[in-house]
Amino acid sequence: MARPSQKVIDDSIEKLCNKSLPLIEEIISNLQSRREGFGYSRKQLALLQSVSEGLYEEVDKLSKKAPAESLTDLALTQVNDVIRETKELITEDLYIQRLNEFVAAGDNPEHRDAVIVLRQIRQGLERFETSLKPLSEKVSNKLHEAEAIQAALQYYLTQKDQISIEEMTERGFPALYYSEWIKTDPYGREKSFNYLRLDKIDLENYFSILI
Amino acid sequence: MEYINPRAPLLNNVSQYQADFVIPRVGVDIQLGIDPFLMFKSRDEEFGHLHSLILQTFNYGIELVKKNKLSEARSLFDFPEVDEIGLGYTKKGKHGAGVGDYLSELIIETLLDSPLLLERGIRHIEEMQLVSLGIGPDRISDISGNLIKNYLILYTQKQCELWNIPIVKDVPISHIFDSDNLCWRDDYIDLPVSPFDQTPLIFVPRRIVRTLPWINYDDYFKLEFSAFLHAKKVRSKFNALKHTADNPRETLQKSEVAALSRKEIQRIDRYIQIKEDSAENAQPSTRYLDESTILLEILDLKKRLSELPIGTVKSFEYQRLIFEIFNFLFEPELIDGELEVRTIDGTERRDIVYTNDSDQSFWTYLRDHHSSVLIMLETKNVDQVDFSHINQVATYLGDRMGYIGFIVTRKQGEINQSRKIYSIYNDSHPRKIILVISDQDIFQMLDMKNRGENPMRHLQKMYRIFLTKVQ
Repeated sequence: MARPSQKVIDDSIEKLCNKSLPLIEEIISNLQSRREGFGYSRKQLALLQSVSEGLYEEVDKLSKKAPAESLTDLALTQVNDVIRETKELITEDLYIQRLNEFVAAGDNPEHRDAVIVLRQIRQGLERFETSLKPLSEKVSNKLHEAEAIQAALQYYLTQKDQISIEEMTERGFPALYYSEWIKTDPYGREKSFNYLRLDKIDLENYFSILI
Repeated sequence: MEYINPRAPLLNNVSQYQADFVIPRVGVDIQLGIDPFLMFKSRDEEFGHLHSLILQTFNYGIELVKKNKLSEARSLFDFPEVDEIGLGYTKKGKHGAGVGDYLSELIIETLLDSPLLLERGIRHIEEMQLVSLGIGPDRISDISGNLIKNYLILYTQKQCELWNIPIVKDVPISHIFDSDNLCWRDDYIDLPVSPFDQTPLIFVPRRIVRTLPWINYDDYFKLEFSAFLHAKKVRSKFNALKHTADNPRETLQKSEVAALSRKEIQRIDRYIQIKEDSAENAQPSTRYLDESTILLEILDLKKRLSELPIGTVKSFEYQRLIFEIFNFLFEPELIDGELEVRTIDGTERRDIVYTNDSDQSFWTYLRDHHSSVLIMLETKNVDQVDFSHINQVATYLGDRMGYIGFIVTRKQGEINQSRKIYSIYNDSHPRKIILVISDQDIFQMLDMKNRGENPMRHLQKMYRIFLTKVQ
């Protein structure tokens, strides 16, 4: 079977670029939002870890002295704030979602009960921290990759030529970001962006990140 | 001749656990008195007004003494024992010492001997116990009983209607205080009478009775003078005297304390302030309740509830039974329960309304957070409450009735009813909360009461579950 002409290949790549560019822009926007979300989560996590640690230590001291005594109104408000904000932050943790704010209804909870809940909160925050880091790295990596693809597509549509690895590096996209998208010429000398891979991959699926 | 237990209650068809008032005994006074402080601290506006009336009248009398109008003062300070209420400290029989004139003279003499008291007036009539040798808890109750007799008569008539207690027309009643003209009058009043000696009966709300008034001499002495005596190293001597019954020197001791208090009135101020600050601990006495009958009452209420058929035909019986059960469970925290309470314009009618005068945690919380000075119950003798029942209760809730209401019905609602109640909560500002109480809840609360636990806890738990679910 005869090989397709360069013209046919160029037309195919142009079509692929036109089709994929808006999609990759949308993916980048989504990944950026998620990365910002992780930034907020990290800050909120640090804040809640600090607050819950202090609160836990104080209530634990009280609990050792007088386990059956009630929390003060001020302490109850703070414990409830921590419960509420932790539930808002860690939506995927079943054990955190099962916790409820204390409803005083005239009788504040006892120190010993508050200690148990605060302990659960702290452990939930630890679990979240453990899962947050790799996930955040994964999103960053995917974002770098999507931005590299976007740069390659834009290059082709403006220059009507395939972009080389050197050119990509010059534009601030090291090969590490998009290693799976690199093709080598038949002689093994020149490396460039593999546009035809776009035809084989569903970008939306490829960039979806499951927590 | 048939023996009649003098301690038996005068009314056989009303349970003391369920009644809002103290049921008098056949042949003896119940060792209780009206404590004006319980009126002072009450959230019930009417009690507040009554306390003001007592105080204003007494201070007016003090003004008369100050102006040397002693004859008028004598007439005003005329407080004989109110035999009709059946409360007092007489151990035998039902009639007290009958010391109206003596008391009147005692008050006037005490006032004349204390220029400071004449100048300042009083904040609580109980202060008179602290400055006068002859005025004790019984006299405080007599003063209060006389001054609020008019209210007690109206209250008695209302309770008779509520409990179907027969009333006799035109019973002669003496010494009713006319607060408009500040004088005493006699009258013929429709009142119940004792089935034994045909003497008139006047009921006193359980909420305002105590064995000893919250402000009392023994307590004052302990708080204000024990340190003082100790400092003077006379405590041991005093203790030796204290244990000698009817020792004239013990009386002398009180006379010294009273004399000192008349001169150093700041001692009284300090003590009264302490008592006002700890008002939440001032609770009505309940020791007169016969605990041996509690299980029988619970069994009876449970039986009646489980045997009552579901359906609108029996809706009045159901409403009445729920009223009795709630009285049994929550008196004297929820007081002055009324059936079929209409709004002023008569367009709406609430099944059962209580005044929430409790100091217990959950009731206090409801009063503070949901403006629930009144607690409203709608009774529905149906299998399943529908949206119209829920909407009806939601309409009733507001500034006047507070923002929490209870539907008492036979079975817990299904998911749709719960959703409707949650949506009412979410859509209302301030939030309106409707809790559905079923037969099962009532049985649980009755069991709690039997175990000596507070059934309020069950409602508190229901409230917590509700709020947790809408979080």
